[in-house]
Amino acid sequence: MKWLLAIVFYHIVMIPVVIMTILLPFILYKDIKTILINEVPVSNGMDAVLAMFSFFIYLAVRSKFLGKPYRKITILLPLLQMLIYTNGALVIGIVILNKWANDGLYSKGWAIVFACLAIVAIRLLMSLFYRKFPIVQTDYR
Amino acid sequence: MRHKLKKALHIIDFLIPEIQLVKMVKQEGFIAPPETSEYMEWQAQMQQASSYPNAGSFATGQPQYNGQVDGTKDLSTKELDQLFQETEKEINRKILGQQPFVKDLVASYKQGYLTSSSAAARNVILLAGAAGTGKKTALEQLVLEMSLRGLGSSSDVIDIDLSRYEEDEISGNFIEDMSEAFQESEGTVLFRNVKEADGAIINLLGQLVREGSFRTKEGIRVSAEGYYLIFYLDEPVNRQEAQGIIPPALTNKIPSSLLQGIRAIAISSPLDSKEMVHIASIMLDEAVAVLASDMQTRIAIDSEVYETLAGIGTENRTFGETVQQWIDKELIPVISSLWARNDIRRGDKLEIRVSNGVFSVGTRFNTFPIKAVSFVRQESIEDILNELNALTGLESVKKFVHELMETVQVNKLRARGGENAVAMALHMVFTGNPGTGKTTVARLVGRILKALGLLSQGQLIEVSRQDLVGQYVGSTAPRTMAKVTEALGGVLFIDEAYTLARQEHDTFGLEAIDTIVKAMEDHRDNLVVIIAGYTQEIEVFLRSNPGLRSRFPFIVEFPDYSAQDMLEIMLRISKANHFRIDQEAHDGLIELFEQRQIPGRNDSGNGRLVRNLFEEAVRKQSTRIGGTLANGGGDLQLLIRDDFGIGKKEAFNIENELAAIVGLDKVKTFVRTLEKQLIVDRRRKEAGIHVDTGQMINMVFSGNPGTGKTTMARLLAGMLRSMGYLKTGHLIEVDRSDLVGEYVGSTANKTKLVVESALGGVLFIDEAYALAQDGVQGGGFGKEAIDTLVRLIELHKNNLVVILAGYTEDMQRFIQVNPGMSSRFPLQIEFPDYSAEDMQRIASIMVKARGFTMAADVDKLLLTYFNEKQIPGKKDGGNGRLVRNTLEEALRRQAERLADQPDVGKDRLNELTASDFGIASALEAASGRDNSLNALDSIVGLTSVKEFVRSLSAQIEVAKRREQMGLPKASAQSLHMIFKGNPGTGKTTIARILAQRFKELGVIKMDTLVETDRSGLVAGYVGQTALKTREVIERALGGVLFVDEAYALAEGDQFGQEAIDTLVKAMDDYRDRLIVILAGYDNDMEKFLNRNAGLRSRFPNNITFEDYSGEEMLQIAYMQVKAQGYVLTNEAVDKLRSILESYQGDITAGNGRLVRNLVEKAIRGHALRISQHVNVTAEDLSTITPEDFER
Repeated sequence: MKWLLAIVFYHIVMIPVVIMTILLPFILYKDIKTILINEVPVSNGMDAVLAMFSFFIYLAVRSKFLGKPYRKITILLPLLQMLIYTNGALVIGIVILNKWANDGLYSKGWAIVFACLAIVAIRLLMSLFYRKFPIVQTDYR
Repeated sequence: MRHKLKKALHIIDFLIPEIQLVKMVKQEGFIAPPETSEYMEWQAQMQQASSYPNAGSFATGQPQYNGQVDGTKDLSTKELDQLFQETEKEINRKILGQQPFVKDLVASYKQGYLTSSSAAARNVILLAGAAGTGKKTALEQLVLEMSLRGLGSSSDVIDIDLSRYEEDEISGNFIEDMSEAFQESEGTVLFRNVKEADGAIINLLGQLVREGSFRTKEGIRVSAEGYYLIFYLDEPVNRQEAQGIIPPALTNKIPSSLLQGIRAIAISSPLDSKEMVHIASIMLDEAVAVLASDMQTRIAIDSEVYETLAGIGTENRTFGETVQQWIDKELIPVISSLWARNDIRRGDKLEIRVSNGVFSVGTRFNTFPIKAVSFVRQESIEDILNELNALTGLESVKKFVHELMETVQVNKLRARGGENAVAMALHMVFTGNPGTGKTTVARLVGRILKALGLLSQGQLIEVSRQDLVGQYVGSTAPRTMAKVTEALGGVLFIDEAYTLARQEHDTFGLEAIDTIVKAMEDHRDNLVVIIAGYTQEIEVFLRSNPGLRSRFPFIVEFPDYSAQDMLEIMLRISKANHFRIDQEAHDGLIELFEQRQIPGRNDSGNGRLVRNLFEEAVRKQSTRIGGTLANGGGDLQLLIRDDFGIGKKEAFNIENELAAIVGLDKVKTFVRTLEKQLIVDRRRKEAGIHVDTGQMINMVFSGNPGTGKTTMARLLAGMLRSMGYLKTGHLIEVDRSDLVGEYVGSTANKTKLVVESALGGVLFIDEAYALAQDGVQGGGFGKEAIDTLVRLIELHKNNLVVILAGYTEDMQRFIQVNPGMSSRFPLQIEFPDYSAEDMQRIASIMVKARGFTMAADVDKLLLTYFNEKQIPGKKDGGNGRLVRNTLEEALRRQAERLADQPDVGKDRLNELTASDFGIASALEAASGRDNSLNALDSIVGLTSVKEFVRSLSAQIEVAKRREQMGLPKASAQSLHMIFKGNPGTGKTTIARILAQRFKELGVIKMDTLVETDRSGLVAGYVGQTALKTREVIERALGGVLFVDEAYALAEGDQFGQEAIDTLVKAMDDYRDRLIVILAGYDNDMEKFLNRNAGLRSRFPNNITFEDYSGEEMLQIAYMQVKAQGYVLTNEAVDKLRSILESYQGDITAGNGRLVRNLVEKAIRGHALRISQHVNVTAEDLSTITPEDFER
């Protein structure tokens, strides 16, 4: 019964989520490229999608039961986690670029600088996080 | 360059954490093995739990090879030889007096290099010898030197203590530590305490030794390739025995699976004292040098110190270890603490000396002894022994402890002398009642054993069933084991241990016992188990597991305290609480304790009783002093006699007590004799003569219900207590159901409990004969109860009085059932039925006790009333109970009367009158005394019978009158009768009238007529007839028993004969209160009497009932018709006469019943006739005509 519920309400959604999460950086990258080339804002609601993905992946990581099939592939969950952070960075970058393209708050140059800074900052935070809590024990001797 | 590259790699690693994913794939593969996640979690836990500091890098479950360079260089044999020679020399410089040992050791290492084969360990070496001979030091030195010379990569020895791993730790910590130890490509691993290791560990090690590696179930592979495996044994061995073989002394210290794999052996030799001095000096100098430089002082050591230390070392055969211990545990702490307190200052000059075996350190001004400073004070045996001896009483226990100490000490001496010490299990059983100091002594034993060095801690862990037993199956063993672990190094004290084996099906208890038994064996040298409980229960407990008794070599019985001991305890308690006890109270206290302490009862309290009494006394003292406090009076610390409740005992006045009992003179006499005996005893005691007048005063009370047996028993209990014969004097009243169990085997237990509860008092078994009445259906439970009882009576004869009560005959039979019974119940007291006078006195006492008064005339009337009611021999006469019932009924009637008369005077509200007792009405009935004679007259015909009845009654009347005039009494006349005659001739009617007449004359007390025949007397089975007949007779007692068709009793079988025999006997027994009338047909009765010779003489009155004549029958018919309100016409009379004539010659002719039937038939016919007519007059309705007879 528990399994059935999990399959119907969770795993059916989770499989596209996994695929999408892996593809998402490329889509976002394309979006950024579109904004920069066409100087037209892109509104794709990726932030909401990302939030939903994060939630599902969070469940898989958090619950031993729900995450069981995904742990079969050792690196899947850590990979998805990293992708979520990276995607988050990219989405924030898009938001900053959109502010320029849509509202014209600042010039294109500043927009690109801000976006890069945001992405780099988030990536650095992620690096720090994985240094503090590495997924594998690394011998630094 | 490489460093920079590494740093750059780190930075890349940091910036791109995704690299970690790649590493992860490398380490764990892409697809996770089944259940990897749990495995990893488990490992994560293990890593946290592991005490090893560098366990962090172990994460994958596989031993990691860090790719370090193999330490072995390619060396020529010559170079190798040289290197090892240098090493040996170096070691010998540091390890003294062990040249052969070092040689062996180095050779075995060298051997490993020469025969280095693949897969297996380089060498497996057994390292043995007395403790403290430098085995470990030599090994460490060797490994260090080798690594210095490039012969090995690791410079230290990994030490694994196998006894540390519990059974459930094998797959966890043990494997963890093993893979940790074997993760390098080479090294030395030392295993110690092989003997104590778990079997599974030994198996794994065996595999490692033989094959060079093993793999666990979890898939962890441990490989000893390139390693030296050392098995370490602290065991003194003679080197001479070990010429290339393992000495036999060692073979049984090492499991055989390991023994086979050992390839080399190095045995250290014991050191002689000279070497020892040298070693001591080296060790000491080294330690002192460090100390001196730390504290910036100069320390000199007296040469005697070395010698003394070396002497101790050689004597204990622990050699270097002794010295090291002394340095670590005594010297360094003492000196550093002196320094910390500024007793030693910088630049001071210290000298370590020894005098009279006491080490001391001296400065210029002071000398301080060097003795271990410990927060836990080391107790000396003397301290504990003093404490033990200070305990009151318990001589046998003290003796046991002294013996134990001697044994242990001698054993130790033996061990020191190098002889074989006898390994001793020291588990003990303490049996005894609560409060006898078992726990206290157990605690002392723990400390003594510690002081003797047999236990490392000496703590006492006190547990009982609930601490050991779990809530569900399987949880008991871990719980018990946890307690055992807690008690390791000390004493596990299991109080009330027998609760673990109460029932056979108590799996929890048994599991706990099994666990403890196992633990006792496993930790024989470091755990002492003491179980305590009541003597008998512990016996049962020891039987529950066949291995238990043999595991407890010491069984100590704790006797109950004597009164003297208890006084001593009391004095001590009061002293401890700063109270004083008045000297005068001492004797009284001893008496008090004697009274309270009942042998055989295990709730007497012993020590606890004393404490309770003391606390009670303090309370009483407070109330006593409380009042006088205001005036500043009263000694607050003084306890006097009154506080203990002594001295209040009023002189026991036996006559006062006895006066309250009505009748029962026999019992009273007995009590008086007993009292006199006690008085004489007291006089003897005062005169200093000691005699034993202890006696069994068990009694049998036999008598009918309501004769005061229970009351008497209760009074007797009180009296015996007041006289000092019994200690508590309570009465436990039981009957069969309290003694007999529901199933086989429970009876004895139940009986035992009852008897124990009655100890010190009186056990009153009501209806005791019922115990012997169970026959086949009862399953012999009653018998079992009797047997148990007999045994217990004997056992507790000084503290128990048993009273058996029941009906006289039943009790007599009962006493004969068990041959031991009659001898154990020497006093058989018969409680006679109360006489009417007694009952009247009881009634007046009861009335008075209830606050009522009796009207003046009632006394006399009551006397006659009771006289009538009380029929001796009748069991349900009621006796005392009859009085109570009568009185209670009277009270009800009085209430009724008073409620109807609202204007009765105040003083008469509690007055009971004759009418309340219902006596007046009875008298009125008696006043019409000639009623029965009138009834006789009204009977038709039977003139001869009537005459006989009249003459008989006249005779009795005259006899009574003579008696009243004081004339000699004619011998009691036998009034049994035989009525002969055909049926329906009025025999029953006459019998009824006779009964009434006899009652009026006072011959019998009731006018009851019990009518019976053969079927009422005879029963279906042999032996039952007598009982049935007896029942009928008892019902008829005090009245008339009328046996109809009595001749039938003589027909055929022996049942009838049995009934007759019983009847005849009853006639003799109850001559004055039973009249038997046998009735039957003339001829049959003649035959019957002829057949039984004795009968005719017993029935002197023979009355023949003639058949009624025709005229008499008509008269009867006339009377019957008249009684129903009908009239016979003359024609009808003629008709009836002719009908009666037709019956002439028939046996039923001349029969009253025939007439009755005819008349009734006529009445029915009349009714039928009249019902067909519509208009009938009243005359028609009551007139019987001839045709009514014809229908």
